[in-house]
Amino acid sequence: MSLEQQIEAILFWKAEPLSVKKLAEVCGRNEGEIQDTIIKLEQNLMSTGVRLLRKNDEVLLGAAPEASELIEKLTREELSRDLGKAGLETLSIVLYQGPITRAGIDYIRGVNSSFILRHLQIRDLVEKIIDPSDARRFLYRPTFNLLQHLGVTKVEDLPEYGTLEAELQKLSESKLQANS
Amino acid sequence: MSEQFIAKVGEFAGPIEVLLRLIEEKKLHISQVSLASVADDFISYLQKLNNQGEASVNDELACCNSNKAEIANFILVASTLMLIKSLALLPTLEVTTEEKEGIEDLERRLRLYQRMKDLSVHIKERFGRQIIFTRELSREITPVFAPTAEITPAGIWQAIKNLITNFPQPEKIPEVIIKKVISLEEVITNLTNRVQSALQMSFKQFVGNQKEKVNIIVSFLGMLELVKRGIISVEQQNHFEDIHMETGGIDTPRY
Repeated sequence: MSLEQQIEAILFWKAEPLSVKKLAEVCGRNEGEIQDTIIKLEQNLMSTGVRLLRKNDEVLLGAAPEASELIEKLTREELSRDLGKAGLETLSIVLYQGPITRAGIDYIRGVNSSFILRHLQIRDLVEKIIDPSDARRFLYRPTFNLLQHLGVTKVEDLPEYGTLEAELQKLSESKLQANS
Repeated sequence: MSEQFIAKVGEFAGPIEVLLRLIEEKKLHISQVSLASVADDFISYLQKLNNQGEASVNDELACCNSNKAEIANFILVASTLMLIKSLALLPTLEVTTEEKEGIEDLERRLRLYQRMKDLSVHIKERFGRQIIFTRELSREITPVFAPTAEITPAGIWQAIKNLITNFPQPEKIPEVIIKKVISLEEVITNLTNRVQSALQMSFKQFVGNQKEKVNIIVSFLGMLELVKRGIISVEQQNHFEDIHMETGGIDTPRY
């Protein structure tokens, strides 16, 4: 059985996000190999009804977004699609500039975001992690559930995702120029 | 500016959003020039917001109470706008490095907010349209009873005793009765009324029985404010003597 097939089988059975590290452990390979194979698997699945989702070194299998309408007929769950203005603003910031602190979000929005962040966490659209560079701070980032609701398999697939970073670089560079 | 701009309950607009709306309503780009031109509009919006906030003090809606705290965020932005407008009117005005950075920071925040607003359209378009569904976990777990060694009657009793000793004690928070202090507005109205009815009065007469230094100072400030507004004129013959106040014809403006 190829490594690619192994990974596919495991992800299918688990039905939950798995880290690259864990996959490497289970399959007895190094992380680099797993990463490369994942990319191949992702490509090969594009022609099937199943997709590979990727986020922060974890992977997950899901149904193709094109099947959304079909599956909705089967699921009895109430699907809420409402995002108030505050929710939309905050999610956009977390998606395009995540991981980001609450202070960072407040800076952009100009209002206090604790309430909306708590709400988005309850809806499993945003998750809170400890800042790896400063254990006193929390960072907010998107969840797999958010990616699923947007029908994208990874954040990078969002339109204009790459350009924002370049713009932010320019903005901070212009500040440096003005001060020199 | 339309009234419905303010009135939407639960969708409170912060200072950056308001500022951007003002600029875009005038079909301008973000620059110091456009910021200077919307400064007055921003201030009047803030005043309306403040009045609305005071009026709803008895309101049960939680959002209105938090609005009052949010209004503080507006003040920093308002002061930066005033600085920008002053610079526009007096280009030779000297600005400190901090003030310069404050102005640049406001411009940057606006640009950033505008960019995020543009990007949020992508999110709005996609959210909930084509959802990627994952498999539902339906693995059944058969429960197994596996107690550890410390779960004995004695062990449980000890645990309960420990829990009770470690109950958090209710904190005794010291309370202070807040004394009522005269507000500046009350003093000004008071003074205006009294001076209008009696054409002249001395400051000592006005202060009357009040002993508290705070209240004397507030009264003095009230008197100065009336002088500034041209409602009264004052005179003091010598240092530390009583101050003589009189109305100089209440309706004639003073320049």
